[in-house]
Amino acid sequence: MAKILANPENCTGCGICMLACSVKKENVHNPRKARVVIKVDWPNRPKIVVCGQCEEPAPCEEVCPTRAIFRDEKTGILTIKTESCIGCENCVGACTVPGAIFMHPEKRIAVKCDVCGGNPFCVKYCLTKSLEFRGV
Amino acid sequence: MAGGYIGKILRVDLTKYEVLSKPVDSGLIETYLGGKGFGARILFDDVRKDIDPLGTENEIIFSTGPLTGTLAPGSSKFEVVTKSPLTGTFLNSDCGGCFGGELKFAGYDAIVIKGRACRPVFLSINSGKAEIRDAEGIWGRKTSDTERIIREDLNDEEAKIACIGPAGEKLTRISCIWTSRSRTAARGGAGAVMGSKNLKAISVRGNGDIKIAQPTKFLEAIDKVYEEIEPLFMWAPSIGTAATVSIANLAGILPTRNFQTGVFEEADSISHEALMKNSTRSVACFPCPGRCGKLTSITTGPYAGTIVEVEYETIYALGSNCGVSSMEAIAKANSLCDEYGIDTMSTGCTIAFAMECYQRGIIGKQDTNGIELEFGDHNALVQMVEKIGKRDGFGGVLAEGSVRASQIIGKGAENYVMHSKKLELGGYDPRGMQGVGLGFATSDRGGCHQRSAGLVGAELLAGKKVPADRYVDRFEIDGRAKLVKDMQDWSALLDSTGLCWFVGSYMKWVTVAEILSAATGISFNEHRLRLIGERIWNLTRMFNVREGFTSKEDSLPERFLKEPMPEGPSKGYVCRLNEMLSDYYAIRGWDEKGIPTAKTIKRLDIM
Repeated sequence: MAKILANPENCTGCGICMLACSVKKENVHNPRKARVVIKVDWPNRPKIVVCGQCEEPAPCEEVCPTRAIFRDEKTGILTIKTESCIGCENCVGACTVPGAIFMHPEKRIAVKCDVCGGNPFCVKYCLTKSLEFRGV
Repeated sequence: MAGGYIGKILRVDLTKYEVLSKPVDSGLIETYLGGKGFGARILFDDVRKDIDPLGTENEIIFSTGPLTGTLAPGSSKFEVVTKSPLTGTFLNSDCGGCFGGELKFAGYDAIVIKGRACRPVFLSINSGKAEIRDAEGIWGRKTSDTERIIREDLNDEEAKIACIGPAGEKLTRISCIWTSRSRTAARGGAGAVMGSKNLKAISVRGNGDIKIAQPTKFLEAIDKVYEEIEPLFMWAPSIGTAATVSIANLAGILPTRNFQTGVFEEADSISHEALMKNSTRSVACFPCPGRCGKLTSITTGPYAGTIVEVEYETIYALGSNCGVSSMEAIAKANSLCDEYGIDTMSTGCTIAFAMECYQRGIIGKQDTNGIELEFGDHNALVQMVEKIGKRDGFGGVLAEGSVRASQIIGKGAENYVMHSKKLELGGYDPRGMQGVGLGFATSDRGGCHQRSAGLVGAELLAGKKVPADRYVDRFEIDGRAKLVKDMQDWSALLDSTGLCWFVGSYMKWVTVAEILSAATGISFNEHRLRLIGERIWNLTRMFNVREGFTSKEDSLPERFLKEPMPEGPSKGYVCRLNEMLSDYYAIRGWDEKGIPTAKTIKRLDIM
């Protein structure tokens, strides 16, 4: 299935991916609204947090009471139908990658990486190839 | 509010324990842009002539630009602006890392701090909310400890910290401000200004947005600028700034043993190849694709356990300028500087000055607490750095910076201080780089290489990493005054946008105008940006004029003017500063004393 592969060994911690994501998804520069997160604890190697589009059964999909989280049949990407999300945070607790699915700081609904539908904006800006796109 | 800006400035009065949020004046944006420009205007208007830089009246300003924290490549910078306790001049000391962007996410374009808290405090800003908190428990702590304790205190591991170490607390005039990810606002003693205000640290964190006025145009301009900065990627990701060691040595301008020569016989030991032997990986500021930082990890020998990012100016100051050829010792000394919160450049150069005094018998072991302060002795270097950090014994003398130390020492020591306006110099001997000499002498904050940093490329890297149309002959002075002026105006502009010089130096005025126009929604063009750069440069000049500085202080040590370079590819040359200086004043529209004429002031609409 389509997903973003993280290679933290190349990551310099620049965080440009977070800005690219928030610009694409929210039309603002704001790392706290980004679906990919770079955690920098200098001098340690940065950590990359991004949804890996789990194999079946995906924990977030399983625990969603309103079926707001569903898998796109063609691409296999786990997607959130925002109008169905009631902000229960069950998915946030169930996710095995803490931070990959999180509550939007203003809208109070769950958000996560949907690989920009197959043309991820963050990957375009990652010159070190710490983020790579793997297609279907 | 124009795009790119948050639209708010935080005013802090530590004497009154008062924090106030003020709107950003749109007139200030149009005329001074941000960063250095904002800081210069605010400082000039707020403080009077002759105030004590370490008194309550001085202000310390943390100021971002409209591009700070955006997708514009290299937009990591914020500026610390204050009256310098080292030079007595205007000071802007810029800093990368991650603090600048976070300040904007936390809800402010700038923080202006005055007064003095009655006991140690730190300022915490979280999503628009600012509070002054107790710092009694962290006073005396080194920098990385301070970061850790504040994060624990706030229960926020993502808080971005700007703080001082023990040196800033002790009002050390060569102290720096250290920030998260170990980036510093290093030069000019801004750490001591924080110390004088009992302000140990500032913590920023926020969920806020930076909004762009014309997002589609902005992204188009960014795509274009990535093509323009392509040459950056030839050196920054792979070898970093340490590449300059070999280049400078081959040109015979690598400052060695307190600028006694420009050739260091052991340059190979401190070259980028030597650094890369210990380098584990590249590190970038937020948000920069350049990744010039090289994380160095020393695993063997007496300095094992040291982890630090070493860059060129540090290598020259603590290395060749002290005759030290041990990269491990340079890394250790660098790390100590960061932990105590002192500027690696001024520290290295001040020790180099003391080493020359020792060499010439002006001081001896009885003065240096028994340390044999000989050129090339890396143990002596590391011990002395620690003493400066602690202000212990002779370290307390050197902590005042090289000029004041020479006055304390006396006995002709003044002849061996390598400075301009009391700021220790950047790592380029001006005898072999004429324009750099003029840049050192006329820099607003004293002997700084960055204010006309393009010259390093133009004069030194000819044929290597810069486009051919930017080369100049480093021994010639024709046209150099105009070049220095243009580069100073360019630096003033870049320092007001939030862009890093390393990345920005490859950009064209017109491209930066496009990015700024799309980001802010204000129509900028090259002419307008040049005017803003020149306006800022002249305003900081007026600040210095108000403090009594004239052409007398636009000077260099006699060594560069009278003693020809003794050996190497720059042998026989002196810096022809005075010939360039009158040209420079004329081009600037300044009188023969170096004071902007009434006509210039009016043209730039400064007063």
